[in-house]
Amino acid sequence: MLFNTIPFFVFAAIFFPVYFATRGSARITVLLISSYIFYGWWDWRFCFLLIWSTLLDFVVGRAMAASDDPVRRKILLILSLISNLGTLAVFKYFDFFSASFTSLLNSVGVEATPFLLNVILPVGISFYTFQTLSYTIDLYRRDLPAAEPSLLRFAAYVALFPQLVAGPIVRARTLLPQLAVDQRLDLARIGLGLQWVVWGFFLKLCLADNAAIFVDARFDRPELYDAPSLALATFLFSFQIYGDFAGYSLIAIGLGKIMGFDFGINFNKPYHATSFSNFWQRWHISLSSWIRDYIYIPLGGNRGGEWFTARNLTITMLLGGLWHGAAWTFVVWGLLHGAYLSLQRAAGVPAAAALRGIGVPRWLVTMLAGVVVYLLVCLAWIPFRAATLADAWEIVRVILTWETEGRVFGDNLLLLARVSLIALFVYLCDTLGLVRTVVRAYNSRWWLRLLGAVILLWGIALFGSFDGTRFIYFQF
Amino acid sequence: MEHGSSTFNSNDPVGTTDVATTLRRLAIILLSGLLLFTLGDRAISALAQSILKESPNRFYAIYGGKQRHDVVLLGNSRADQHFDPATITRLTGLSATNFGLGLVSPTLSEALFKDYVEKNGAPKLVLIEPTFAYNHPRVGQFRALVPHSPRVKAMLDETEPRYGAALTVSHLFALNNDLAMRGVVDLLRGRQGSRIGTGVMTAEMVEAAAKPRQLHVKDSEIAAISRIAAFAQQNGSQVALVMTPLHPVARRATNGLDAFLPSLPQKTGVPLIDLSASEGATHHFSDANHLNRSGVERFTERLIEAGVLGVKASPALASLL
Repeated sequence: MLFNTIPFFVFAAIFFPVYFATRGSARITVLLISSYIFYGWWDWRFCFLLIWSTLLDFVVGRAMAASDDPVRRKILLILSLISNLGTLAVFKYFDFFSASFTSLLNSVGVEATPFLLNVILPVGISFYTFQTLSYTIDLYRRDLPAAEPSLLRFAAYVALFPQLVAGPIVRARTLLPQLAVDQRLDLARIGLGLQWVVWGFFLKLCLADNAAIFVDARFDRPELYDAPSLALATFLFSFQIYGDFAGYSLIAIGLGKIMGFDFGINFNKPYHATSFSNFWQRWHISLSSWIRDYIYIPLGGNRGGEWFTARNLTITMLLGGLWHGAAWTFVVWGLLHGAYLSLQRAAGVPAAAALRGIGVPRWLVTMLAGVVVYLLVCLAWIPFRAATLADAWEIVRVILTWETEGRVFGDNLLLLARVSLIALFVYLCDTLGLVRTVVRAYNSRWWLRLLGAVILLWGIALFGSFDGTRFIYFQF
Repeated sequence: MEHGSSTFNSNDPVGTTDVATTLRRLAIILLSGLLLFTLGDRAISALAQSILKESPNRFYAIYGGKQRHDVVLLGNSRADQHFDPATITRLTGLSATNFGLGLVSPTLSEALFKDYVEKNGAPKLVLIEPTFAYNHPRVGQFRALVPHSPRVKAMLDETEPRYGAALTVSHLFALNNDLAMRGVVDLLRGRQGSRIGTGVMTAEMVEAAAKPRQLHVKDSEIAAISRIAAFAQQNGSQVALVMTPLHPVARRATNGLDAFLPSLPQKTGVPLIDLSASEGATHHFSDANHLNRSGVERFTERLIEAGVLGVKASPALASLL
């Protein structure tokens, strides 16, 4: 079920009154059944994987908590890892690695045809796999004090519908304690939740889905378009993916807020970042903190020399890229970000110091750093969005050589004007969100927040795209 | 029960009162929001529509009632880009307006043309580019005109009822399309922009045009063309179908065209001037279906040579009519 469709509004209209009218185990049961209906709306068969993942990690968690034997605990952890990552491997990565291996054999003259499973990728598998993995790993590390005693509550934690299919990835230690309490019907929280839901819909329907029309045409047929058109499509994709994913996250976080849950924030004005590490503290925070805690730090983090840290950053970002999808384009995207982070560690501080040394004011250095970070992030978005590496290279080549001969800009000027206006509005709102006095004044007056939400709704009526476009992150 | 404290604790009657108060406040806030949204929506859209009615945009101008023209041109993007009112006026002295646009169907054209005649009077001549007969009868971006046209509203309710319902919820939604944006842009610059292609068809485009395609003409849309013609003739206008140029490669690749064109006069009761093969040079096309600026100049001259735009004086057209 997509948030931006009529069935979801009908679902929500039934769910929320029933949710608040029940309490205790009955409420958790309502939550669980509703979440399975929400998830099964795509394909009911996907529910069996969810049930399997839930049962396995629940049993493993109980067994692990009951044991002080380190070997037994390690075996249980490995069982959970193999099961969860194995499921992910079969459904998401098997065909990719099989096809890539066959290509490699063919390139060295060995005749082979790939063995492909051709299975459908269950929606949200990467999100809930990481979510349940955090439960068993935290139990193993004793970061989580005790295993969840209630299967019902654990199942609701795994399947919780707002963030099930595209995050944010909420750790067990954050969410399970919240599920153990009957959350109050709180007016302030409902107001805040609704405000985030409306802002999320604005980002998705107005920014992302309008930008998608311009972007999709150019990334689908890059050979037709000239350099200005492809460069603009790249910049617009940076806003599209922000609107799409931050929009989804805000709707999920807002729905959770209405229900009484705090999922944390997932995006924090990412294009205001002034370094790459700062970018990853602002972009998809629940994933970046997950891979930091469960991949980067266990690899050794920065507890070694520069090369050791660079290696760890590269491996972490490579795996982060592969998490997004089984394709070489995501590998390149991850490697680029690994390289950015490594280069920043090696050259970022000396470069800033050199600029300040020749009299460039600090604010200008910060601004320049922000521009460089944004441009390089956009460069990395090209392989992320392109269908193939060949397409990505074609786009980069055309932009870098500023090729226009025999190519067209494309007839989308009205759309471009509309998207630019919306992107500017979103950027200004994000910038205003950095000014504490403005935020405080806005949040302290309910009528101002109501007016803000109504203005966004007018904006959605005026500029929204209502063709039920899927959220980009569903494919991951 | 393993759960912690609850607002809904049945032992706490104060909690129930709290819930009732919270629900009442929530209902007041939501209703206030709904009221504010609805009032603002109506007020802003009414203001915007009254301003847009002054736009020089050809479609909004229909409803201003000050646009009487000698020639009205109907069709899809091929009519839009091939019949250039400015060139026609320059070469013949006849004033013209073009209601052609991409994906416009005869059913929609019928509504627009009837609105035009009602508000502005009948033209002397109506030229119809017939390839729009294979477009679906959709309102699409023309929902921008719903506040001005009961005909367009009726068509929207019939063909896209979800959009019709959405317009009941929000009047601003009528402005959520390219036509309204175009109306704003034309209003700001005080004139309409040219929509004629400036590029030249590339070798890749010629190659792509060779891919066979099938014409799927809808009988309901042919009937709409007949109704347009009948309405125009009742109001004293002369009507002709003009098949404008197709790139020769695309023409050859279009299955069914040679059967479709000769059948048109009989099906619609309107004479056909077939100029589909009148232009053969690739450099006069911007793509397989559309002429570019130089192509339009040559095509307009051909229209004049064929006597199409000198209706009364033209023995060629007179004999057809």
